[in-house]
Amino acid sequence: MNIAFVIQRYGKEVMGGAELYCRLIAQKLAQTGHEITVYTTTAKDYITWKNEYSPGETFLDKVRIKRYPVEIERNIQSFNQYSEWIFSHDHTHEEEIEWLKQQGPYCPSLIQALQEEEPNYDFFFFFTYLYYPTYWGLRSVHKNKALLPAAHDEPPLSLSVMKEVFSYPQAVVFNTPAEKDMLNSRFNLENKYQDIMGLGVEIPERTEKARFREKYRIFSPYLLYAGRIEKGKGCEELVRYFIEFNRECPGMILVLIGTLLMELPSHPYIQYLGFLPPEEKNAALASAVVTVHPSPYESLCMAALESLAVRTPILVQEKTLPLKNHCLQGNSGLWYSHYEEFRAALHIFLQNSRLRKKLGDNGLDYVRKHYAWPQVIERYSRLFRHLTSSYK
Amino acid sequence: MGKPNKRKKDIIIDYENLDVQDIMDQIKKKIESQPKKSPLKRKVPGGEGSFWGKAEEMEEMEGLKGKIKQLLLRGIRPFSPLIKLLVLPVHQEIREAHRSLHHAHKRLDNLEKMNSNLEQKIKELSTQLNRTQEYVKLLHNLSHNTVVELSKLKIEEENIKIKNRIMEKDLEFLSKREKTLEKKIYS
Repeated sequence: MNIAFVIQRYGKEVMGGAELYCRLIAQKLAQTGHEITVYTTTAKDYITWKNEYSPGETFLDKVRIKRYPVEIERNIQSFNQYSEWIFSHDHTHEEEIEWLKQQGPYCPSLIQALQEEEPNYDFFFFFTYLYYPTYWGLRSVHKNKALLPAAHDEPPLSLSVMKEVFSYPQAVVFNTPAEKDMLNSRFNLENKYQDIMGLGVEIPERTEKARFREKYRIFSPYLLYAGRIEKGKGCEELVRYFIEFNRECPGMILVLIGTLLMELPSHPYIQYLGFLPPEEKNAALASAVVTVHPSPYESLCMAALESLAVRTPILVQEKTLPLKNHCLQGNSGLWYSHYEEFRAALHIFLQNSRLRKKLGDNGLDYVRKHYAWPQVIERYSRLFRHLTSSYK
Repeated sequence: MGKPNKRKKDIIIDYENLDVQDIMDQIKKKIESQPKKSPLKRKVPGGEGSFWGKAEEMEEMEGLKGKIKQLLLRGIRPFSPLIKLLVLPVHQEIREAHRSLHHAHKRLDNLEKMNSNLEQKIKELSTQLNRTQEYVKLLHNLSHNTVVELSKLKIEEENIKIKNRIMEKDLEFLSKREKTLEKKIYS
């Protein structure tokens, strides 16, 4: 099948959750014989949408990529001000369209290309509900469309343009049951094809734990955070809680890996290791006492699944339902909503190796059952069959 | 069915039928039942409500009972540091300090190991360097000697050439003389 994917950013260096999800799915589907073309922008940075890739056509892992330049870079400060105003005041439809334009990535040539090249594809697949290419792309294309919203319970969902976004596609698919429930309670999706797709997680056969500890000179038990290190991901709160915990119960280290986007305090028990290659990342996950996922907004959280895939239990924010669901459905982790719970949960993890092992084993079973690649691909095949059979 | 395992005082975990919701409920109940206190605030020894604070109050008591207690308190005052050590939560603080010191020691041990490894490597490298320097010196001497020997040989060669020329002249003279003598004899 000829399938067109539409997403705001795409590339090996792009590490956003939805973008990574899109890339992995595109690769896997291309390996199974589908012809995948990704329509995207030349932006690499989601804050500014600055043009960094060259426009035109390239190939990456059997996937054809067509990139179009962003015409207006985003000024995040003025955009945040405008967002604050629009979420708290009465406004018109035109003002919401202007909000979408400022949200970006503003790329009219991408929309034009979708219109012109529509006959070449069996159907279109849009990733993330939030951005300019999704709204205008869904409006411009007439063939069958699927949307993977990657939505959290957040203010933009209350905008009236989002009702339009969710009304255009014939299929809406989700990362987790929590996301499905939340969006069904907000929008009328009754007559649409719906499914929870999830994402396949690679389960490493072995991890080089000793080599990792030797290389980074980490010999104490540690709590690991993997992902973008920024305020929005709850890292500031995590660091505050950890310093407090360390004051009461010294000896444990907080290890952070990923892209650093905020300032970390200089603390003898906080170590930032940078961006690690996959083998080292797996070893880091495997030798941690527990991995922590403090983000208040997550629709799937790959890092949590990767942690469970190497038998390391997870500690998550209670209010982030998809993460709490991983714990509940898999019996594979604990959660916290304030410091006292964070401390109590960490104490239990530190003192009880039998519980850690049990939770870790459960986590691996959970990942094998719900997030193995063959099952995910089968769900996508079902979706494609539905989209091709229901068109005209 | 596995036997439920009592982990701490009040968190019970059934490993055979593990239920994270149940564990979290127990944690929440435990936190609710605990008196709320700021984790940063610690009780100051001798402060309000402590043993020594009460002792001060008791001193003010009137009557015989009070006087006896006053006398007793005066008697035990010299032992107050020992009593403080046994009664107040010094033990806990010592344990915490010990734990952090143990951790620091571990790190220092690793650093020492690294340091000794580095020193070993530096020694090996300096030995190699010395050996190389000696080799260079020897090679320098060797090349110097070779040049001297070659110069000597050149001079020798020149001498031999000169000697050869003289001998050739001698030979020529002798042959001429021979011929002259032969002529004189036969004539």
